[in-house]
Amino acid sequence: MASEQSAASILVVDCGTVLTKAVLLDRVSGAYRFVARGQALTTVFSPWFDVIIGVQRAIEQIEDITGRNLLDEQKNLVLPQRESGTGVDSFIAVGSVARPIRVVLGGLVPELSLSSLIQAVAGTYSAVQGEIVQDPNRRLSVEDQVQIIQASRPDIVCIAGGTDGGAVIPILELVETATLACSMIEEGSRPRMLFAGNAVMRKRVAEIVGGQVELHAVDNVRPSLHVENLEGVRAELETLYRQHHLGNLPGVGYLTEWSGVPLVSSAESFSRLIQYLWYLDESPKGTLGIDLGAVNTTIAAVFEGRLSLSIHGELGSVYGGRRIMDQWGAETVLRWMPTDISEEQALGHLISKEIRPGSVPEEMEELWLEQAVAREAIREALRTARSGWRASQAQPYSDFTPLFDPILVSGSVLAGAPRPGQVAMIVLDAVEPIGVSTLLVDTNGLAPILGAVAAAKPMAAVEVLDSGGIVNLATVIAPVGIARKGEVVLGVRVHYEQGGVLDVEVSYGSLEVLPLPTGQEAVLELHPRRGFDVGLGGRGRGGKRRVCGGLLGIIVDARGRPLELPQDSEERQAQIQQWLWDVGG
Amino acid sequence: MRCYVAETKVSPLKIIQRDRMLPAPGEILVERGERVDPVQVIGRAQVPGQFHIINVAQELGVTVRTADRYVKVKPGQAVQAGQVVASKGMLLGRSCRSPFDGHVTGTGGGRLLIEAEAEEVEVRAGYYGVVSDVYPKQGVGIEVSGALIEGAWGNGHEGFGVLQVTVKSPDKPLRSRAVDTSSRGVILVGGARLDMPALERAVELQARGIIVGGLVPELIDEVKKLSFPVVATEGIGTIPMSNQIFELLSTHDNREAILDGRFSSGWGARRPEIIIPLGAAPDTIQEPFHEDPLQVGDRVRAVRMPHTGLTGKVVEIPANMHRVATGSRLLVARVKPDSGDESVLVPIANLEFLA
Repeated sequence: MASEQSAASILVVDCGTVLTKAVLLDRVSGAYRFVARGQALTTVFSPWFDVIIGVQRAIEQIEDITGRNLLDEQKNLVLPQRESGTGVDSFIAVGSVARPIRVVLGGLVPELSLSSLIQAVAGTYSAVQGEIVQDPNRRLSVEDQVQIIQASRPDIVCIAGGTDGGAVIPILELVETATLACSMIEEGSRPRMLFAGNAVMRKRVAEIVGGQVELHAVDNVRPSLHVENLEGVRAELETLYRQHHLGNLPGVGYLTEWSGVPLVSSAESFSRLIQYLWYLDESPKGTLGIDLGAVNTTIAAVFEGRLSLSIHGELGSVYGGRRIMDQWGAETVLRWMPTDISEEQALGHLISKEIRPGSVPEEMEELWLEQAVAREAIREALRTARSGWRASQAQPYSDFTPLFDPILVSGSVLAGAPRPGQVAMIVLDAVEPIGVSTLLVDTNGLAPILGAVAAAKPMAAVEVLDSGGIVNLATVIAPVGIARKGEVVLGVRVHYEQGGVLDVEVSYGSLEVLPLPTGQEAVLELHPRRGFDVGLGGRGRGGKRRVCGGLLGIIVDARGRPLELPQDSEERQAQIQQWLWDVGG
Repeated sequence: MRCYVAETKVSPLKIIQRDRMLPAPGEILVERGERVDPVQVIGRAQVPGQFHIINVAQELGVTVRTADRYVKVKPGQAVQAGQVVASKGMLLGRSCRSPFDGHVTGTGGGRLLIEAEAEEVEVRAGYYGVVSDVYPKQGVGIEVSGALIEGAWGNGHEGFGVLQVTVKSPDKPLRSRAVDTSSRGVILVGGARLDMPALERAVELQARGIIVGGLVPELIDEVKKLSFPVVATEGIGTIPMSNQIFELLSTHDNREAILDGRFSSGWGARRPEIIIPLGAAPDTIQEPFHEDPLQVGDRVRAVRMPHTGLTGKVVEIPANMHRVATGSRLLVARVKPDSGDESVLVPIANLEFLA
């Protein structure tokens, strides 16, 4: 890898479960710009069994677009860039393609240590297989606990409990049981054990485990009743995923050789970007990032600089649909369809997509279904993620989404939506933002990689962002309050920087789109009716906000919070169709 | 721009390598180079049985520290159901008994762990072939020479039997009237779909399997309950079986086939497959996958509506993107269908090689 000082062109690949994407960034007129992207099917599974094949194919597409050779005849990446323009100066790889870590959690109190463990694990590529608890209210017998570990065949058993210097005996019992269960699994297949409980107990825990299981100890997730420390567990699981799951995939050796450093997980990289966006103006609002992948939905929320990251497995755009329908009923997904579709037809489409996850809808019915799944996958992921947020002043209403600005969305279903209005509707229906928010859409697949780029070359990430690498979709104004449908609840005056004023009165229940093209700016003057809150200091309080133009301009979403859909299916379909028309979807 | 597409294996003759693994480390009963048939046992393993933890300290009313003094058995010792394994006092004292026949596998902390005798599980070869690899204690690799067809969806079961093609063309559904007494114990090959009466008839006649082009979503739950394998070669819906697949199956009508309906999507996805064992080995070793990007002349299959199941040849790959019915602008290829119909533009993402 070229040194950071000299490195100019940067090639980044993101190996997802279904698609591998490659992005070329380079200096143009003295600043970094997004140059080109390519994508190919991920090739870690049959018949290829080698992740590098998909990477090479995605790079070939960049070669074809730019006319620049990046690979040599043996398809090795040329590093550093030659004078002829062949090759690149540096290479970075991120990924989410590996199997998630199978985890069993053990804790003393569900509301304390176990809850903290769940939050810590949620920020990693992990699948919780079971829980063993020493809680008197849901006490499991030793047999039950051993059975859970034996049946789950976890990669790791994470145990927490006791504040530092607090409970002793119940933790030791938990460790004893977990050790017993692990020792009954044949050597070579035994899970690791991660102890994140009462720090005073580490030595005794090590004595009990006694070399039967590989033991790691990290900071207590609950050092005291009111303090939570998730980073130790999160970092340990992130390392395990990166080194043993991603790192052991066939072909990953080439990627680490090219980059000189191990792969970074896509979620880790994505969350760094969302954190950076918050620091741009250190707003009292939060910033929200949603990466809707084929398998996982990643939610990164930042409040007062603190990141809450959660990865929701089996809630992606491809493999989430059937799970949501199985778990919460088909109507959960189908209620978002603007046309009639039977449960069986929908199931058929979803299975077909699972069989060929790289395929794309050619018919409207399949497109609407894919977007309906996207809405519900995001809604469910947010519902779970919210329990770990500490939004403080960004949360004026406990039942509604906190104030976020910006909201960034990424993922193939969103980036590949035929019309920007469809993306906006997915986000508005799924997130139900309140107040004034900027919606950003990652049309080039940059969001999951820019965090990793920033770690290696901070200015490159900043310059690519500044140059419009991520697209401004719209500014959304969503008033909160209750009124009758059709009643005027908000007056909006738009002072265009290039001259002219637009006055609009917005009725409750409506969606309005006001023009403000990309590249232009305006000052919004908002006059909410008494009882309505647009996030400018409370109910009935208005004010001014400078906003930038986007693909859709300004959207006023006065449909109410929480969003309610008509019960009657025909009426509901007509309403959803109307909303789509309103925003040009 | 170079575009690579997914691929489905439809090969008239191929060397196929498949692993058969034991569920736990065990004993391998065959040797490298040995010829096997589907029912032959290639290995056996001991799968751990139930276990029971006796809390000696609690049951005898003693401290954890002193509990070991009262334990009457040692780790590794065989015990029988009802046998006293720990006791305190003489005739009227307290005692702990083993709940089943088994072995003592651990003591300590005032507890005693007893595991029941392991259950023996035998694994069969599942294929006609030659053992090409032996993974000590783990399983074997079997090399099969034959035709291979990858399916799209399967109901999770495995089996083998004689193929019986029940339809005249790949677009015809498998109907109950085509399933008669001659169908007893065979693998039924249908066309575009399967209906409920045909399925009931197949169950009644104890069919060994069903192969169809598409499976309507309404039947998925029913088909999953069956005890024999069902494989849909094209996908979910009413979809004519690809000509290439139908012709290959028809060529081998009345020949024995192995039907593997195991299917999973997501991480580590697995596709169902049909293997027709053939004596002759191919002259050349085939590539494990298609290495070249999509080109004019390639044989492809469309996998999404409205062209699902269409097979044909690529006749043009336009350089520019094309707007499809959803409004998306996509890279497309023009495909001339095998049916002789007019050529159609299909998004490249929705094509796959039939290799």
